[in-house]
Amino acid sequence: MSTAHSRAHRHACVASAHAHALIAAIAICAALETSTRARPDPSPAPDAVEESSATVHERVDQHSLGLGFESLYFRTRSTDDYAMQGPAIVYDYFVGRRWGFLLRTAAFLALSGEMNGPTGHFAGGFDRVYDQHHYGADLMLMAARRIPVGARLIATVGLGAHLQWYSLAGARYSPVEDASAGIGGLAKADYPLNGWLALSGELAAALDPLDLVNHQNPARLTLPLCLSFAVAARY
Amino acid sequence: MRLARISLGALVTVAGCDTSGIHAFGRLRDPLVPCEADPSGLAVTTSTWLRSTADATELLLLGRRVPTDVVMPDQPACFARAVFAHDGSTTIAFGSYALDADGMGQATHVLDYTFTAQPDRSILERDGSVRADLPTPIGDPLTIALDGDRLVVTLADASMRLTALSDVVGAIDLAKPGGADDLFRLYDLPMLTSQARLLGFGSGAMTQYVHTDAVFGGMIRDAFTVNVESLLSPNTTIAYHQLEDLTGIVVDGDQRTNVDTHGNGAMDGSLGFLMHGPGDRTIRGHVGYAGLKISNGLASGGSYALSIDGDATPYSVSYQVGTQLDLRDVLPVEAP
Repeated sequence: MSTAHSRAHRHACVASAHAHALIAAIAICAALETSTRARPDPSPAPDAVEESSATVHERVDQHSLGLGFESLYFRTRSTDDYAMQGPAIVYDYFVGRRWGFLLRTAAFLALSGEMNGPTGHFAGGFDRVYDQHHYGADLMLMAARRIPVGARLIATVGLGAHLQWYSLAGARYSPVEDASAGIGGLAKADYPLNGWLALSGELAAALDPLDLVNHQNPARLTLPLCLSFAVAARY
Repeated sequence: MRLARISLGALVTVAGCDTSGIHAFGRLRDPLVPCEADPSGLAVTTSTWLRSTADATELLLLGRRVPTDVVMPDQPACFARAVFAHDGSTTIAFGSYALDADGMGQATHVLDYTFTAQPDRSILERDGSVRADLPTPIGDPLTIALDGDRLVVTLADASMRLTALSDVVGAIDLAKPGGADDLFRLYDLPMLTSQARLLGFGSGAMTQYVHTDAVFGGMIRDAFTVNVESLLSPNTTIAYHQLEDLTGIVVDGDQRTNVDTHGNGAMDGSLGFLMHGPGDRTIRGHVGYAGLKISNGLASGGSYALSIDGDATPYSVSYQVGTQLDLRDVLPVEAP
């Protein structure tokens, strides 16, 4: 039982990693696998495992809402490197069984940033410079898979399309704004509190090679990364 | 229907982005440090000089009333060189200069502005006015000498024989055929220098001024502001507040462009102007924009209503004069 359980985890994790190529998912899986191996007497709590397996086979509609921290990196054709970061509100919606559709949206407030390159240098807060607004929004539409791990945890990994927009504007300063698209993915772990409520942690990342605005100095690559924690409700 | 609205909203949001970027963090809209000026406008502290070439009008702005005055290198004066092609395309190099007692010195520029007329492109595909912030100032050898009432200048490899702006004002004769057109062309010069500094002017990048009053200082004195109403109603108001970009020409008032997202519509508003000529001669008047039709972001019909204080005759200047910026009637080409 123990070996089979461990093997099942390993296969699920390797398959997940190959299918989704998400570093975060691998890290979570590896950690879980290590914890399983290290247990001399796994005492698999058969009821819990069966419950967890049963959970990922039944249809799930799950909404989650949480807070996170978003970092956004991008490089422009002028070879300037930019970074900005700030808090985010994250909403996820999953519908499906083992496999399903996952929608993730986030809105973030860019509080500070850095920039280096031939066009200029900057490091500091945005509230005084971009006094009109400094925010962005993020959307991911993904195919996702739910994977039971351990007695109670359910991991979800997803991969799909990513769309993002941000805008920094101030009366005295030229705006910095862009919309970009690419691929994105996330790894998420849900810890059920009861039959319908869960706590979840999530790491989302994307790689956007497309600048959707006809910029004179377009972004060559945009990399958002967001870590968030949420409360999830399913029915 | 709901999806269509969301999609439309997303498209407007993306289309509304400022296409002149992506700019550097903390990049000032207007980094220009104006010439030293008398805030009251009573004392003249600069001089502006013009010349015609076969295909353009060139302008030098010097931060001294007497152009041959010594300017110490540790206290440089403002310097601008602008070139206006006949189609309205404008380039400005703005910086400073120093000059010794022999009339030899150096001009440096740190800000380069470009507005290229691109009537063949749609408004969303035009470059609009752009600015290059030079990482290090570019210096050119400069010599300045007076030859009678003309200024003889060599700048880098270019030799120029220039006429004082006030003398060009003095050469305008409204009684002559085409006199009103000449006056309008001269009035248009500071309009072009201000528009070339208005980042994104003439393009979709003007959406960067939605819901904001962006302020741009005059090269000599005071300022103008720009405001765009909204992304879906990009009606634009450029308000001139006693703006003095060129020595002795002051512009004041609101100019409005009421267009749709394709740049089609009409203009409105009126600008008052003051031009100082030689001696005590001044020309005061107004240019009304109410009769001007706009297509694809460009004047495409109607006329400018020009009125001169003390002159009962109203003048109607065709919209085409705005893109025929040829001043050779009042500023003939002169060999250097």
